[in-house]
Amino acid sequence: MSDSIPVTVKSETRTSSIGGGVFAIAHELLRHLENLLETGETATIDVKSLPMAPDEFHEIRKMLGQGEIDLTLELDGPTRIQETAYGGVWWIQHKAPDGRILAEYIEIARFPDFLSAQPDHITEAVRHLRNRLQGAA
Amino acid sequence: MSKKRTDERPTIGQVLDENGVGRRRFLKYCAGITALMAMPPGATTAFAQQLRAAKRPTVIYMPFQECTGCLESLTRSFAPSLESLIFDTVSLDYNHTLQAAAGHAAEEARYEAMEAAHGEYILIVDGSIPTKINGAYGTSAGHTFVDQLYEAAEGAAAIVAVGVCAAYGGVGAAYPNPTGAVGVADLITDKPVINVPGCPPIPEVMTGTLVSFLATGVPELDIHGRPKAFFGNTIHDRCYRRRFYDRGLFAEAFDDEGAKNGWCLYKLGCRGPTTYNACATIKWNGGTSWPIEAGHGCIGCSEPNFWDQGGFYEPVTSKLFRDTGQVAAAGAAGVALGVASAVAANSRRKKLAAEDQETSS
Amino acid sequence: MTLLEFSRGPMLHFALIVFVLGVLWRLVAVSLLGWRKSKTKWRNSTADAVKGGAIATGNRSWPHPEFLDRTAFGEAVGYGYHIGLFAVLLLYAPHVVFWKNLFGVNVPFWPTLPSGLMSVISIVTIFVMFIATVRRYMHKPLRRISNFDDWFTLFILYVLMLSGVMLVFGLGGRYEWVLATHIISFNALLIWFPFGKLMHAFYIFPSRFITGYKHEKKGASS
Repeated sequence: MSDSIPVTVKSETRTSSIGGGVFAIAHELLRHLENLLETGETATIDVKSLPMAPDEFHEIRKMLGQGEIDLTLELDGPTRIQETAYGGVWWIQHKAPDGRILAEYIEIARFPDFLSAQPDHITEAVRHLRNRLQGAA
Repeated sequence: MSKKRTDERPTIGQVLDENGVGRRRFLKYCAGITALMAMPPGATTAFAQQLRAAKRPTVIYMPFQECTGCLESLTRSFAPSLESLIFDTVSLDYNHTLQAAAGHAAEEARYEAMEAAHGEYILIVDGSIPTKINGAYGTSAGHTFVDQLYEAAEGAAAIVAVGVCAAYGGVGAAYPNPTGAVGVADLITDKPVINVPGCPPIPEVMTGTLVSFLATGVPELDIHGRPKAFFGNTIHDRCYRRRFYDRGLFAEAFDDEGAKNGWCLYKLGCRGPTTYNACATIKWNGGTSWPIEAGHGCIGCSEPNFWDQGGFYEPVTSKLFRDTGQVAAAGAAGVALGVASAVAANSRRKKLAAEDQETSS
Repeated sequence: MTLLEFSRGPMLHFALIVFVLGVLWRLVAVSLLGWRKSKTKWRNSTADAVKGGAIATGNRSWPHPEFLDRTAFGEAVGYGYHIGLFAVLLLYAPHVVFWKNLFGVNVPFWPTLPSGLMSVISIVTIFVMFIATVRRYMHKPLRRISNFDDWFTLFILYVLMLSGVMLVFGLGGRYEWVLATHIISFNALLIWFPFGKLMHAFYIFPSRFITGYKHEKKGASS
């Protein structure tokens, strides 16, 4: 079955070295991942707030690499959700229509919270569907 | 123009739904706001829910003794974006610069909005309020700014003083302050006043403060009434050139090697150490750059009395007095007193010596 | 007016006025007090005496070898503190810009030391001052002769130097309050200066010179 999946994981990350400020973030990621495994608790790291030199930023992206999912949504500007080469580590970037970055963070979770349906949306869906069924009955 | 009574006002969530703004689009917007305020990304969902549940507020904008720079900054970020849906910006249009209507019709529009949302609207004030000669230095439609402020503040839920003029008096209050200009908080003491200073303030800071007020009420304020989320750190503590300050590498002139290498601008008058603002992290023009990155020291524009802290190119510890000969006079007085003391001491010594001679002879 | 504005404005102005008035008063009065009538014959010329004075200023800046054992500690602490003090005052960039602004001078070339080195020097200097303070308290005779002047001067210096180090390391809360404390303690030092032992800064070298001058005139060795 897996042979028929036409997706190639392009990542050389596990062989590249980790250095400098990337080290600190990598440690934090490891801690969050271990916690996720143990307790199921999710976490986020706000990449925009870290005082990093530009090349350190690219080092982190390179280190994390690319997983199977690379999703771009159009929501008042592009929102890109990428799974990194590390399972459970997601890279999320929200951009405005003019291209400036509104928010950028790493999420450690089984599934990015942004993609999941919001509880009040589900509540509304229940109400709506119920009304519809009652109307049809 | 809304004539709804306050309890009939829709929630922001309802307005968004009516206008076909999907939940994820709104969640993305909230992610931007929470990132601005350095809240953890995980707090976005809760923030979005609080914001959706909040009643859509009326915003009344009162400009006083101002240069319109803050309005320019504010309107850059208000349109086009979700803010125009979140805030009932009918009253934001109440502004001599923006609106087409003028005269009594415009005043009527404002009074109606204030009445309809009495006790619930957000009042944004721009510009200082002149108080000398009974406030006559600033009048509009036959009323002084002082009276207009008191009247508008009376029905406000909260007041946001946008810009350093509305917050602390700004350039109008700079020495010698001929109009007796003061900030909002100097006149209004019975309503919460949130100061969002700057000359002008960063647009995202203004809108972020307004949106966060909707979601969670008056935010935590510092000793000068500024939201700690944006004004909690000094420029110096977040500056990317701090490493050069710490190593003692300073630019000596605006075109020397140090300046070209991006070294610290302390010697060129940077006021980063004593200035609290978000310029180093949020930056200007949608994150393009900010004064220090552009090579000019911080002028401290979000601090009270920033115009009177010495020259912008003098150090942050520069002297704030003008000596018109007092030190020289003190020197002359010191010399005179020294001579007098020596003469007195010598004559006393002679007298004592003469007495000694008398007694011994 | 904020505390910082006050410290850089009226208080600094007042402190400079008191400093200039007080120092000049004392220096002029002391120099005009005259000299005791000499009861010996002047054996050497004035020119020789001037040379003798200059030599004595250098010689008396270091103890005679016989006394070195007993005074080495005091000399080391004294020199250590003063060298550190002058380095911090004159070779640290933020102080250099402060002096230039205060006196309105634009010295074209005024070298400064790297700030990291400066941090080390200032902490060592405070430590040396602390050793001196401990000794002043533990050494019984020294303690007996120490008076308000000694302790108060030390107190002002501690506030001044510690607040300076706190500023560099971002300690102590809001920067503007720590900076105001630093400048206020400097103002306090200026105001107190003419009234106490700090005047040794002006007396020390003239005093050694005059001793050498007088000795040389009498033909005595110094």
